[in-house]
Amino acid sequence: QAAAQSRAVTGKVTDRQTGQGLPGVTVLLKGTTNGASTNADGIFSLSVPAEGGTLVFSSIGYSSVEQAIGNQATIDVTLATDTRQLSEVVVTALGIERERKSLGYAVETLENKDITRASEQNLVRSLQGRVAGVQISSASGAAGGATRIVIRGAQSFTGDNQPIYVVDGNVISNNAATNLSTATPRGNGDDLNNGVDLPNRAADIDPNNVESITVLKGPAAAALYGARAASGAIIITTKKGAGLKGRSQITVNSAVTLDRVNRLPKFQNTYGSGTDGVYDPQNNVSWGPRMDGRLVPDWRTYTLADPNATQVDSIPLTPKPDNVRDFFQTGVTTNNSISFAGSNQASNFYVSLADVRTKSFIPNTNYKRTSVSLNGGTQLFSKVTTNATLTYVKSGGDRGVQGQSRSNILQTILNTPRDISLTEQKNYNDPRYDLNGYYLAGFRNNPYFLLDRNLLTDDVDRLLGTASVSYDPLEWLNLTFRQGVDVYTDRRRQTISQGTINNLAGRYLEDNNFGRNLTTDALINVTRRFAEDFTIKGVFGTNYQEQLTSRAVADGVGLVIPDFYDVSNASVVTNTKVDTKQRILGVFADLQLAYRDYLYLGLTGRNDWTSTLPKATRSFFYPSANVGFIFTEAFKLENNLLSFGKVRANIASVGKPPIPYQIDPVFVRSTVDNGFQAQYVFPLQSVAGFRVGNVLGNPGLKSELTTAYEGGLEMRFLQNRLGFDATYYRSISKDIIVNVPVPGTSGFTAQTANAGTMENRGIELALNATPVRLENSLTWDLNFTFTHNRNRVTEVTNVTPNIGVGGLGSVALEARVGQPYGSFFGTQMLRDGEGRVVIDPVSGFPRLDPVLTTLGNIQPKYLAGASTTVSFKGLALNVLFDTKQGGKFFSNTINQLYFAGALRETTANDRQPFLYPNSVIPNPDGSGTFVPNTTVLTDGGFNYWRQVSTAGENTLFDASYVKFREASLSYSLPTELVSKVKLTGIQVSLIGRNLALWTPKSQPHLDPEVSSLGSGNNQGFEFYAYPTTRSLGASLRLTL
Amino acid sequence: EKDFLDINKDPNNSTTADINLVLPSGQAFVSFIVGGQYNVVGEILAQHLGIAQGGNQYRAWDQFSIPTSTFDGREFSGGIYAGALDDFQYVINAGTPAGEWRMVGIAKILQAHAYQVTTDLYGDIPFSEALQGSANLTPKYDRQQDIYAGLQQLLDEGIADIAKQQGRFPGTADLNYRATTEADMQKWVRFANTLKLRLYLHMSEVDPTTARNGIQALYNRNASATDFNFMRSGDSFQFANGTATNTENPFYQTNFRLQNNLAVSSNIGDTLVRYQDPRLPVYALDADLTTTPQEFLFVRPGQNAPYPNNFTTSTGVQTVRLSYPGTYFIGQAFTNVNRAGSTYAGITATDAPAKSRPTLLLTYEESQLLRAEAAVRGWAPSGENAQTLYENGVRASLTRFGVSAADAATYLTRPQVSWAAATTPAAQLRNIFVQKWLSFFGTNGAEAWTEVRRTNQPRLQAPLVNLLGGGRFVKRLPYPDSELQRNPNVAATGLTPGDITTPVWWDVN
Repeated sequence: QAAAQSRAVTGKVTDRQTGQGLPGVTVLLKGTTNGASTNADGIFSLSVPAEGGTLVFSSIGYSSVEQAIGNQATIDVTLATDTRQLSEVVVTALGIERERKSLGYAVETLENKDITRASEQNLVRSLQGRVAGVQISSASGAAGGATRIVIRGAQSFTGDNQPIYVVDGNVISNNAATNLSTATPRGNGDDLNNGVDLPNRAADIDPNNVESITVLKGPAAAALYGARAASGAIIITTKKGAGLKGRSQITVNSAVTLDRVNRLPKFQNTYGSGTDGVYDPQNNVSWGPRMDGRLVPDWRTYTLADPNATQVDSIPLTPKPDNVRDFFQTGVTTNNSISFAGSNQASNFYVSLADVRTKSFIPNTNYKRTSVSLNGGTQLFSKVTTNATLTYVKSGGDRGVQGQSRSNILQTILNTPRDISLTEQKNYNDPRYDLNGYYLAGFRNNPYFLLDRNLLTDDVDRLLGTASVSYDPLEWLNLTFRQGVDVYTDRRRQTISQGTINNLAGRYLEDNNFGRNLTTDALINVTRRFAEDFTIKGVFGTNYQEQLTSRAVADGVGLVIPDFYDVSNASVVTNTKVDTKQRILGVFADLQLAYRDYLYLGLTGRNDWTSTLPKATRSFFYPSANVGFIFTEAFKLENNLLSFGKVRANIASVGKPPIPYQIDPVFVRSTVDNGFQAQYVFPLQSVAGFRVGNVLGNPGLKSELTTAYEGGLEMRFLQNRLGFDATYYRSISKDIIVNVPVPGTSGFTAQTANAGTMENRGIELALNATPVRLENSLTWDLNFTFTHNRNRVTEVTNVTPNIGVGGLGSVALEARVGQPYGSFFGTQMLRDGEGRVVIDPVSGFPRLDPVLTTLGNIQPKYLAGASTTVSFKGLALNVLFDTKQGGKFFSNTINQLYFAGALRETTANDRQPFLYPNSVIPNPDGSGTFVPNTTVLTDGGFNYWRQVSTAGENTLFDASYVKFREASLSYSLPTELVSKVKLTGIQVSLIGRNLALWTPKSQPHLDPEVSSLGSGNNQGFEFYAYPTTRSLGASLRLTL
Repeated sequence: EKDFLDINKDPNNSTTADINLVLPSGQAFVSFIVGGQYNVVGEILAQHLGIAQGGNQYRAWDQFSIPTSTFDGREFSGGIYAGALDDFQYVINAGTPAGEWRMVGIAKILQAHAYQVTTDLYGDIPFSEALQGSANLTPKYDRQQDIYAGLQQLLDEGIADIAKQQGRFPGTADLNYRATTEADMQKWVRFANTLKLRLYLHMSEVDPTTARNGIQALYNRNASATDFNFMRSGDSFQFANGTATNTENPFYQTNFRLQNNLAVSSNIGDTLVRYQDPRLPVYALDADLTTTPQEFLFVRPGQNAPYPNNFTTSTGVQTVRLSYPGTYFIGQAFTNVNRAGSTYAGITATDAPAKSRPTLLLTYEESQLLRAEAAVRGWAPSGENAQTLYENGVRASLTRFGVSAADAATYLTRPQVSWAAATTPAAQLRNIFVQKWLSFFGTNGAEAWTEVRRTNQPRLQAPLVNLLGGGRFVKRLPYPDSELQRNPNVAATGLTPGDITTPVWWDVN
C-alpha cells in the first residue's frame, strides 16, 4: 500500500570542492531504513512517500546534509568535506570498527589528502600540527631521517615512549637500530662521534598508499593492543580499492619540490681567522684581526709554504658572509606514484607503485624510497571474506656524518673562519685544498673530501603483508583470523677514506640489520540486539606478537688497499652481534553495550604473558571501562543552534614490559676506552678477557603500569558548522623500569629496577568551523588544535632523585623528582642573592656555581596547530601553521660557535675587556657577602666566551617556534574539461613546506625542532645537526 | 619445562665467566687508566708536560681548571671501580669458596694498587663499603688514613693467600707477571711488599711514626730474604703493550699517534738541561728537528697564546718552536709537527717501539729509590745502603731510556746528582725525590704528581694562566659528577663539589 502512495525522487550528489559527482553516497529517508546509494556519477533514485519527508545524504569524509523533499522530484546536493567528522566509522584497536559516536575515548583520524597535500614524504611528520596531543620532532633536516612522535607525554623514563605503528592490523617495526651499547656504535643518530641521521622504520610507509591514519591516544583507546601500546597507537589503513562501487580508477600523483636551507646560525662578519687578534688561518676559529681589508698571508697556500720562509701578505682580509649558506645546494625531491584500483560486488583490488627520491641540499647525499603495493579482497561462498595486503619497500640513501666527530662536515663548515670561502675548496684534489695542503690539514678535513668519500649508505628491503579470513556463520557472529608479517633487512655501509682525521688509516663498517615482526589475531565478533533498545557488541580473541631483531656489525679499521671497501681489506676487524627476541601473548575481551543511540558503555580486559619478565611476574591483567553519552540525542536537544553534544569518560590501565634480557647480569667482552679514540680491546695479547657487566640484573622485575583517566566533551553547533572536541586526561605511570644509575663505587653503574612514578595531565582541544559555506560553493574551513601536557616525575628511585635519560657535554637530561620529565641539569653562573653575577676578582671571569642545578626542561607549555582551507569551485587554498611554545633545548653548535668566535654574539664589547654589567665581587673583607663590581674587567675575547660556554645555562635556549608548516594552492579542472581528455580528474597544485620560521629574539640561530640524538628519549639536544629546509614545489594529480 | 615464552636469555652475552677470563680485564683497566688519562693529568700537574701551541685538548687542566665532569664514567666510576676493582672483586668472591688462593691473592694485591693510585688522586674514597653491588649501592667515603691502613691489611691478606700455595696459577691470564710457577708468584709477593713500602712512605710527612713502624715491621718480617723481599731487577710491575691496533700503550694511543697536544714542560726541561741529563734527547725532541746543535725549547706551565717567537729560522724569521716528547714516546706522524722530520737524520721515529712501551705502574727503579728514602730516614735496617740503592735506581732509569753505562757513571758524578755532594739527609732526600720525578717522565704521571705533592720536590712553577686564581695549585682531583649526583655519602667528605685545592690527608705542604 505504501508503493501506491510513493513517488520517485532523483538527483545528483556532487563534491563541493571539485564539482564532480560523488559515488557511494548514502541517501536515506530520515527516520526510516529506506535508502539508496549514488552511482558512479553521483546519481541516485529513491522511492519516497507521496508527501513530506527529509533526505539525509551522508558519505565518509563529508558533512552530512539534510534536505526536505517538499514537492521536488529532483534534488541535487553538494557535499563538503569535513575533516573533523571524517568517518562515522573508525578503525579502533585490532582493526575493530566502531561508530565514532559510540566511543568513550578520543580518537583522531586523518585522511590521505590531509597527509599528502603538501607532498611531505614522511608519514609521521605529516601529522605535525594536525592532531592534538602529539608531539613530533626530527633529528635533523636531512632527508629520510629519524622522526619521533610522543602522544600525551612520556610514560617511561628510558623505555620506548613512542606509539606502536599498526598497518592493516599488523604491528610493524619502528626500530631505530641505535644504542648498540656493546660495540663501538657507528652510524647512529645518537652516536656523536660518527653520527648519521638514520630513520626509524616508520619512515618506510609511503603516505601515498595510506587511506587513513587513526591516532589512538590514551591507554583506553589502545588497551587492546596490550603491553606495547602503553604509549598509544598509530593505526594506518592502506588503500584497498574498496568503496569504488563497481568502478575502476587509475591515479597518478607527481610532485617536485625544491629544498633550500632554511635557518643558519647568525654569524659575525667583523673578525677573521686567527687567535688573540693575530691572523692565523691554521685554526678553525675567528678570533683573529678585524676584517678591514688589510693584507694577510693567503690561507689557500699557507700550509704549503716553506715554514721557514716569511709569509707574504698577499690577500685582503674581508668577510665572506654567505660562505656557509653557499656550501649548501638546492635539493630536489620528486614524489611520484601511480595506482590502479577497482572493485565490484565481491572483490576489491589496489596496485600501486610509489617512488620518492631526494637529491639533498647537502652535496653528494640523497635518499630514495620505492614501494610496490598489492591489496585485494574477495568474498567467497557469500559468508567468507578474505583480504590480503602486500607491500615491498626499498629505501635508503647516501648520508653524511653529523655530530662532533672531525668527520662531521657541519662542525668544519660552521666553524670556518669568517674570511674563508668554502666553495673555493670544492676541488679537494687541488694541492691547495687536498689532504696535505688544506689550510686545516692534520686537524680537520676538507668538507668536500668528507662528503665525497665518507658516506653511510643504507639499503633497506622490507616486506609488509597481512592475510585475513573472516567468516560470518550467523548474522550476529563473525570469526576473523589475521596474520601479519613484517620483515626487513637494513644493510648499512660506511666508508671512511684514508686520510680522514682520527681514521687516518681508513675504515669500513658493515652493519647488517634484520628484523621480523609477526602478529597473529584470532577474533570472535558478536553483535546482539535485545530488548529493543539494547545492543551488545563483543569481541573476544587472542593476539600474539613476536619481535626479532638481529644485527651484525663488522668494523674494519685500517684499509690495506686505499678506497677499496671490504672487510677483507681491513687490518683489524671487530665483529659485534646483537640479537633480541621477544614474545607477547594476550587474550582479551571487548564489550560494548549500547542503549538506543545515545548511551554507550565499553569494557575491555586483557591479560598478557610476556617473555621479557621472570616467570613469576610474566602474566599481568589490565582492564578498561569507558562511557559515551550523546545528550543531544537522549534529551532531543538538537536544534538550529545545537547540532550534537556528547560527553565521554574512561578509565584504563595498561602494562608495559621491559625490553629483553634485563633479568640476569652478564659478562661482556672487555674493552676499555678513553672516549678519544684510544682503547684496549680484548682479546689482548692473545688473552681473552671478559668483564663483569656494569648493570646489575633484577630477577624481581615486573611490568610498568600506566593508569589513565580521561573525560571529554564534543559539541557541534549551527548545523555542524562549528564544533569542538575537548579532552582532559590524567595518567599515572608507576613501576617504571629504569637502569637506575648507581654510584660506580658500588662496582656497578646501574641496576635495572621498577623505580619511578610519573604523571601526565593535559588538555587537548580541537576546534573546527566553517564560517563561510555558500551556495556558489565558496567554502572557508578553519581547524585548530591545541595540546597542553603537564608532566611531573613524582618518584624516581630510593638511591637518587634523578635518572639520567641522556645528556650531552656538561648538561644532563633527567627524570628528576618534582620536575617534568626531561629536565636539564647542569652548571649555571654563580649569582648572589639578588641574582647578580659573581665575578672572580683575580681572573675577571664570571664564576660558575659549583652546585649543579635544574636549568629547565624539554617540555613545551603548549603545542598548537591552525589550518584553514578556502575553496571555490575547483580552487582550494590550504595553509597550516603550528607552534610550540615553551621548553628548552641545548645547542652544542652554539656552544662551539662561541668557542670558535664565529657567532654574531662574540663581537660584543668589540672583544675588549669590559665591566660585566650588574655584577658583584666577593666582599674583600672576607665576610662572604658580595659588593658591586666597579673595577674588575672581564676579558671580552676568547677566554670570556669559553667561560660562557662552560656554563650549561648559556647554551640552553627557548625552544619555542611558530612555523608556517604547509601551504598548497590547488586547482581541479572542471569535469567537462577533464572528461574531454578521457580523465575523471586533473588537479594541479603549488605546494610549500616550512615556508617560514619564527623563533624568540633570544634564539635567532637554529630551528628548535631539531633534536640531534635521534628518535630516542634523549631529546632536546642539538649538535651540529643538518639544518632544516624550506621547500617549494608543484604537484599534479590525474585520475582516470 | 620450558614453554615458548622462555626465550629471555641474552644470546650475545654470557651469564657466567671463569675467573681467568675476568682477571686480565681488570688488569687492562688499570693499565689503560693509570697509564692513560691519569697519566696525562699527572704529567701535566707534575709539570713534565705542558700544552703545545694550538693544542687544546688538555689546556684547561694545564691552567688548573678540572671540572667535575672530568674523569668520570671512563675513569673513576666506570673505569676504576666498576671496571678494574669489581673485576678483581669477582675473582676474590668466586675464587675464595673455590680455594683459588693464588688467584685471590693476586686480585687482592691488584685491588690494593688500584685503590692506592685512586686515593692518592682523590683523597677520601669508598673503600670499606665499596664493590658490594646490590648489598650497598651507596658506599660511604672512608677517610684516607683508614684506607691506607686497610690497604696494608689487604696486601697482607694477598701475601698470605699466595703463601697457601693453593689453586691454579693464572698463567697467561695474568697480564702483569704471567705467573705460571711458584717463583712467578713470588714476584707478586715482592711487588706487594714494595707497594706496602710506597704506601708507608706516602705517609712520611703526615704520620711519620706509623710510617716508620710499618716500614720497620716490613723489613723485620722479610729480614732474611734476599733484598728484603722487595722488587728485584726485572720485577717491575708493568703491563705489556703491543703494536697492533687497540693494544698500543695507552699514553701513546691518546697522545702520540697524531701530532699532538703536549710538549715538554720548562720545569723538567730546564732541570734536564741543568743536570746535563743524558735522558734529555730521549725525553725531548729537538725544537726544529733539523739543525745541530740540538736546541730544546720548552713550554711554560699554563702557557697560553701568544706563544713566544723563540726560534729563528734559517731565513732569520722569528717563529714558535717547541720540544715535543722524544722518540721514545712518539709516533712517526708526530715528527711532522714541525714539518721537517725527514731532513734530519737524527729523527727516525718509528711507531712500533713507542706503541709497545709497557705501561709502568711500579718499577724496579722506583723500588730502589723508595728503599733509599727509607734508609735515609733511618727507618730501614743497617743492611740497606742508601747510596747504593739511590745509584741503582738512577742507573736503572737511565738504562731504561737507553743511556750507556759510561754515560750513567758520568751522570752520577754531576754535582746535582752525586750522592757524595749531598751531605745532609735533606739534600739526599731531595736528590732521591728529583730523580724519582725525572724517572717518571711520560710513564707514571699519577705517581709523579703524588710524590711532588708529598715531598714538595721539585718546586712547581706558577702557571702563566691560573684559572684557580693566583698562587693556588691543584691538590686533588674532583669527585666526578656521577658520584656527586648518585652517592649522598660524598657529602660526608666535607668538600664542596668541584674542590681541587684542598690537599689530601698525607699532603701537608
